[in-house]
Amino acid sequence: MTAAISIRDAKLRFGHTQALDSVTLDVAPRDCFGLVGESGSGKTTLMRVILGLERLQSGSIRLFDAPLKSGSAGIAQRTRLVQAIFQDPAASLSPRRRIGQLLDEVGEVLGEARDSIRARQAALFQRLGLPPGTVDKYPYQISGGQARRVAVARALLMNPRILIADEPTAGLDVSVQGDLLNLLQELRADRDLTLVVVSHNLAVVRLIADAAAVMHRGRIVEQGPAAQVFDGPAADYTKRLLASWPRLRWHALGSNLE
Amino acid sequence: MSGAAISHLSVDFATKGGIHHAVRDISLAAGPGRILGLVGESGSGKSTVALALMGLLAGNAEVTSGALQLGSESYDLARAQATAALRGIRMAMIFQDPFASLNPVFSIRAHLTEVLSRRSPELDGEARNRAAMEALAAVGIDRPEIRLAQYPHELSGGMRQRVAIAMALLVRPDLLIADEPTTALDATVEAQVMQQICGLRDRIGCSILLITHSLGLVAQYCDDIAVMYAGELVEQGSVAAVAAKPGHPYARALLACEVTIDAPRGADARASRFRIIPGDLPDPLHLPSGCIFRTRCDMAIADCARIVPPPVTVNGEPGHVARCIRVNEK
Amino acid sequence: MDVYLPILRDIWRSPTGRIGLVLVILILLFAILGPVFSVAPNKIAVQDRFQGPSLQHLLGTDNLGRDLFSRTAQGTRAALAISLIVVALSLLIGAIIGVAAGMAGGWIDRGVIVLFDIISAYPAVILAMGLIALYGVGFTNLLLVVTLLFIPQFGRMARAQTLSLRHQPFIDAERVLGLPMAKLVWRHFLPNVLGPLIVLASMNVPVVITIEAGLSFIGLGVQPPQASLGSLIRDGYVFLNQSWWPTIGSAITLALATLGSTLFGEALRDAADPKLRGRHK
Repeated sequence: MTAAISIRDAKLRFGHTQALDSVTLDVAPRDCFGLVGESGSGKTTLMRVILGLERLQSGSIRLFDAPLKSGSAGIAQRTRLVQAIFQDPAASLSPRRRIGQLLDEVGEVLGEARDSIRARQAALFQRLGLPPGTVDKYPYQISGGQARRVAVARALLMNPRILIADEPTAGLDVSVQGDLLNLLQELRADRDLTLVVVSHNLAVVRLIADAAAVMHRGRIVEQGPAAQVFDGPAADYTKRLLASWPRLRWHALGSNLE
Repeated sequence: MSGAAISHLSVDFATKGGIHHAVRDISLAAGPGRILGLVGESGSGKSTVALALMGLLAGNAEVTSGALQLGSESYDLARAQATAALRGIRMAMIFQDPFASLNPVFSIRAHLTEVLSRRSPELDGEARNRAAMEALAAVGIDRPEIRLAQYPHELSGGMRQRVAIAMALLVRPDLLIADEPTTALDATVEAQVMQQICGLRDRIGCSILLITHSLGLVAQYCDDIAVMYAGELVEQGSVAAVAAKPGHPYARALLACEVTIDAPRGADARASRFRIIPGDLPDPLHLPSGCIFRTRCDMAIADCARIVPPPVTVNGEPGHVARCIRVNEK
Repeated sequence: MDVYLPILRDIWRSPTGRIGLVLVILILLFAILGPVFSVAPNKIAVQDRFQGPSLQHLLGTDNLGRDLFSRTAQGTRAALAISLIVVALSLLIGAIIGVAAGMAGGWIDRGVIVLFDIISAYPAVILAMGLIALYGVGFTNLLLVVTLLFIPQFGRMARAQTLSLRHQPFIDAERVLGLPMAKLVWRHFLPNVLGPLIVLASMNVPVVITIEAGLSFIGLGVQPPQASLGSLIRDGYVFLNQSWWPTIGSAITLALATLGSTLFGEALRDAADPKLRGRHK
């Protein structure tokens, strides 16, 4: 089976920090892959490498078995394969352009007719629960939750085969974080998406991911099926990380899954 | 020491649209040597409570009522600068971002001895230095003599938060307010910082008000819990009692949303769905009548719009109250 | 307009901004309408020399009997025209060079920075005097030289803005979308770079006015018989022991023009900064 993402011996150094140190990784197609680690572990750098925003110093990256150029030359090559929802979706919308103008850019990049892209956009808005009038607004005029959905809509308009979600729960209250996670789960089922969730939230990744990798100081310290990584970790660092996660004492309440 | 109690605290904000009653009639009590976790989501008003206690509210805010009881003395929070004389003596605060609360141009030594010059003016320079060093060692900072000469930017986030705890240790307050002290930190560092906060409590026996959005943190480290929603306190009690039977539908829903690290895991991750609380916070300028949560509550009945729910003892458990008229229904 | 109206309102609400705005409008009206309502500024009438203010000559006459009201208006018009053209040109060129350097990075960026440093290492007026001495006096040379002096300021700010924008999440998002570089720069960099540059431009208008007046004062700026605020002050200064009227009108106009545009520029800077927005209730 061809891996959706295949990274071999990736190395990247920023000044004195080895941001990525011999990272080798395979993400199976249609899986949800969780990339966890603490701040400075290299998980965000790895995500940026997959997106083509950072250039590898050595090693290789393949998406669906196609070797990729790194850096900006590779972006055009991979834009139809992989898209991302950034950590702060409101900040990921260009502030001086209307939402509609931002979404029309997708049509420009794909060479798609304006009518066709707008029809797809309207359908997506309906699916995501965004009012149609949102297109006439500027990013600062919509709520954080709406900005998140606009960012999802923009990524999906590109029809990517891989979707990366960077810290999808960061800064969100527990009563609303499930909304985006459930949406990602539904999209995964509907669209045959391969999902990569980059997060420090072990508890969430444990439930949503099929497979996971734990990063620490630029290295992958543990990688495998989520059940194994989170419920029977082998690496000392993973054990330490899991032990430090606060535990609720109220199991009497039952499962927090619906 | 006999702990700290806040009674009938209300805070208003003047906004463009009108007066926003951000905190409405909150009463809380933290016994001596106990940690009270004040939890709530964004917009609940939990940080406003902390700032009102410390007298650090923004210019457009006004404390309309409220009293702080520390030991046998009572302070009227509605008076300007009511607690100014207590800050750094009977009250101390740890902030979310220690980088913002430590002054970048002063060394760690200067921060710690500054606290002492206010708290213990009788000490001479040598004694202050020694006390500062001991405080750093007490919060688990190795080689304190080197750290004393360093500046905030030379320390990691966890280390800076330990310095803030060491400062609180030197204050020996009756009440320590910790506002989201670990939100900016990684999980492993969070655990260490929380252990230091517990250690400080054991050492000086103060009451601690821990303000957080993390139920996990409260469950693991707190003795008591108070749950705020949209400016009101909806439930309060010991962590054990609230965990066993949360009385308020909001508290119950919030607990159910928390994703735990040991939750039962289905065979297929694709099937995982997460709980949410449907609906939005009420518009602060147009609050619903009756119960504040009724617009999102799945148990709401006609009476909920009519009656402002009084605190009701849950399950006959002393000290465990919830503000819901249906709390003890079967 | 929904973006700009609050800025104007904020300027009006700040007491100094209001003074600046009123002064700027008055000076503009004077420069535009002054020459229309007065006699020819270069008409010599030696028999009427050194007159004080009268209904016929509102600001009196100079050593050749020329009407000082119309000459001051003409000089103001020259000062404003030069400062606006210089500021607009240096903003445009500085923005292009600065954004290009910030985007390119590497040795191109370093080279541009060194070039800017060389230009700004010399005191502005001295460098202008040297260049004009080298290439000759004249309106075009004056414009070009002063423009050159102001390019580094705008270029540096445009470069700094570009560098900080490069790491904004929305730029990453547009890059991941695969937007071509030219469109990325045009749509997503320039509009965000331009705001602070326009504020800087408004703060530089009074500086250019004084530089132009200074150069004209020593004879390197606007050439006679064309009037300039600087040369009017110089002419008046030469004959100060015979009549002090000729210096008054031009000196006060120069002072008001710089004061007005400085106050306006500062109010614009505050109003355009969202962090300070709404300070004046």
